[in-house]
Amino acid sequence: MSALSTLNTANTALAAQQRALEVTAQNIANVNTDGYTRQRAELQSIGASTVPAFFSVSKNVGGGVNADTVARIRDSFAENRALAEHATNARYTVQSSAYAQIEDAFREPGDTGLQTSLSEMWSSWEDLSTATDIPAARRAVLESTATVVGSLQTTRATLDAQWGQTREDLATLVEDVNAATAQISSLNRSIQRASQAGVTTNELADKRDALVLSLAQKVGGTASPGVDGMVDVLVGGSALVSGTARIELAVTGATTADELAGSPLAVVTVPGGTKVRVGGTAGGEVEVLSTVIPQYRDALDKTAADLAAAVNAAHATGTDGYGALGGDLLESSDGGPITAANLAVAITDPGRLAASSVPGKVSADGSHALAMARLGETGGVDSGYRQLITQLGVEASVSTRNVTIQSTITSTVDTNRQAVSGVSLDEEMTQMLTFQHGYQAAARMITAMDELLSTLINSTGLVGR
Amino acid sequence: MRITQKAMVTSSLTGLNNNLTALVKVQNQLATGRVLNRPSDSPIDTNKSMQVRSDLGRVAQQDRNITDAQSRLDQTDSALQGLQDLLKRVQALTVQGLNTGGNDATSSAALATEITALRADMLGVANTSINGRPVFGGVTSGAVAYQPDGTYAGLGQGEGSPEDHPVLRRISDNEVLRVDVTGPEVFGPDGANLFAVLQGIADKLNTSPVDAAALSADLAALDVAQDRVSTAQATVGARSSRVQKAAELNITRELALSAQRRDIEDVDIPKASMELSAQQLGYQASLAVTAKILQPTLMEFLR
Repeated sequence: MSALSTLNTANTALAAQQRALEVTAQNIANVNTDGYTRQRAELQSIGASTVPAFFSVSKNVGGGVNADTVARIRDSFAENRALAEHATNARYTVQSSAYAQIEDAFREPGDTGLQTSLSEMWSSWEDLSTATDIPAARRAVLESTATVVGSLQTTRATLDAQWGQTREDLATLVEDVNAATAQISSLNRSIQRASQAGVTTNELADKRDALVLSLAQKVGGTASPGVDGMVDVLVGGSALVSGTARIELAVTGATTADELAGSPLAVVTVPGGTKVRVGGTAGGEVEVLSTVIPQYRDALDKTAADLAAAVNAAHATGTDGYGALGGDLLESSDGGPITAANLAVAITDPGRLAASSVPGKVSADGSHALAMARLGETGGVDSGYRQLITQLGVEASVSTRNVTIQSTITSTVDTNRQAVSGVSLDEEMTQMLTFQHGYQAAARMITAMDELLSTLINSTGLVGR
Repeated sequence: MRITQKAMVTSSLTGLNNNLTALVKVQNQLATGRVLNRPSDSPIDTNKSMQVRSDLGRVAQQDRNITDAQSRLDQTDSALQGLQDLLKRVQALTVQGLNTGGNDATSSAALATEITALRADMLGVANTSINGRPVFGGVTSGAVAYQPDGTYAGLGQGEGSPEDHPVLRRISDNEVLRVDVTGPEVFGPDGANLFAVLQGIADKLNTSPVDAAALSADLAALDVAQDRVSTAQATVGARSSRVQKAAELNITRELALSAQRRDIEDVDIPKASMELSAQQLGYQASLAVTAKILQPTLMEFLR
């Protein structure tokens, strides 16, 4: 071991501490950067030559320190868990906000909901029963019936608009996903090249992992590590990104809620056309589009059809203002089966309302109007509708609770992730001190060696001079 | 567990957010005055609220029905009372007419004229109308219950007859009350009704000499007619008291339902205010703690 090699050892120490300080600086700089993973300079002592050789000069003291590797400190289990939990959270959030919109569409309980207009309609029949010969009372029945029809149509139109909006959102989302997979695969390519060239890829990997997380929020999926630091992204069993290759997604099927029965909605791969079971926001939207909204749309249609059936059946047994039997009061405006959208009032002449139960005669009898009014209690429409709203309430509150629970889980997972990969300023400060001291000591070492050599060079051989 | 600044910021933010969400919820309840704003707030209460609302609607409707029934019964009652008075006068005149010894043909004719006038008055009473419809006309859509010749023009012959078309008012959820008395029930069956009897008396008084025996038979018929009117009055009175009872019950029910609705839908202000204070305190505390915790780092102490 020569004095010069000690100088070299001190020199590697200077370089290593400096590199470690650089890494510390990078960590501090990115303390608030989203998706940044803290890094650490992996200091490794350089061992002495361990190869036994005849002319070996090794004294078994190492040759300094090496700081070539800068490691990303992250927990891949926590990261994968985060992908899954964020995806579930996104799915529940979409569902919950869809339920909130449906609740808004039904406007219950309140003065503007269908329940109120139904009550008012039955009430107007009862008013008619006490004043069958007053044209205003007859007109009031027609108007209140038109209000019920309007209320049903408004709710139905709101639901249809929500469906259309969600469908557009899904299409846009899938475009976003395709853009994200393109970026991920191109980052994968850069990482592959860089790591083959032996260049640090930490920042690129951070950028890519952030993209993978946002992709997971959009369509679910898992990431599995590949060769050369690349990752593969799997969604519902299909590999969207596989190294540098990727496939796209597309939405197929119904573009309006009415087409849903004939062509169910699906997210498929392009090329291939394989149906993908997506999660995340897209999964939530697919579920909202194919189950949640149609369910309430159908229930509303059924309410309309039940109402028309009950009212028409009862109306046909009464006698109208001209002594004839009552005709249909509600009809379908397009001839098809009655839904909340095509429901219409069939009678325009108030005299055609069947208020009397005296057959074949013009009379002021109002007992049939009273029977019509009682449909509110016995017709089953009101109670069926209440049941529908209760069901909506239960499902909406369940979905709200799901979001609350899932957010807690997600934030716990995020905290765990942060605990491993986040930058702690206190820790970086301590590191900074440590490396600073290391640097100072190495510099002092060089000074010491310098003095040693100086003694040797300048003072040796001058004895007696 | 390793704690980092970012983790602390995140958890502080989450805490602040949760506190603020709870605060907004209470604030919203207090501002709208309602705890039940959408079905998911409480599905069961929503169902109850919708039920109570429709019950309240029915109660309001029955209130209108009761008012209508009451005014109809009152009108009928006062008509019947007027009829009683007229009948008494007719009876007195008929008895006077029977007193043939004290009457000459001229005074008999005068009696006949008065009875004819009274008959016209009675016809007026029989055609008493409410809202443009005769009260004794059943469910007729015509304007009168009796023609000038004394034949019934109404629709509905009276309880139990095949032509029965009662005028009904719903005064509670399960009580439908008949509120009319038809002409035949008050004035007797067509052909032998009060108007025919009166016409007969007037005719008899106009013929000289007066047929005392036939006039006595008419007097007996007048007694029967009076009984009929009394019966009708009693019926109307009984119905009227049922309506009054229903009105009282309806008011009680409305109060109970309104209270129930307020209980379900409206905010309990003292409770919500307390909750608001508690949430405010929680929010302020978490703000203070966040401010304190996020300040220091090791840098404060390294010199």
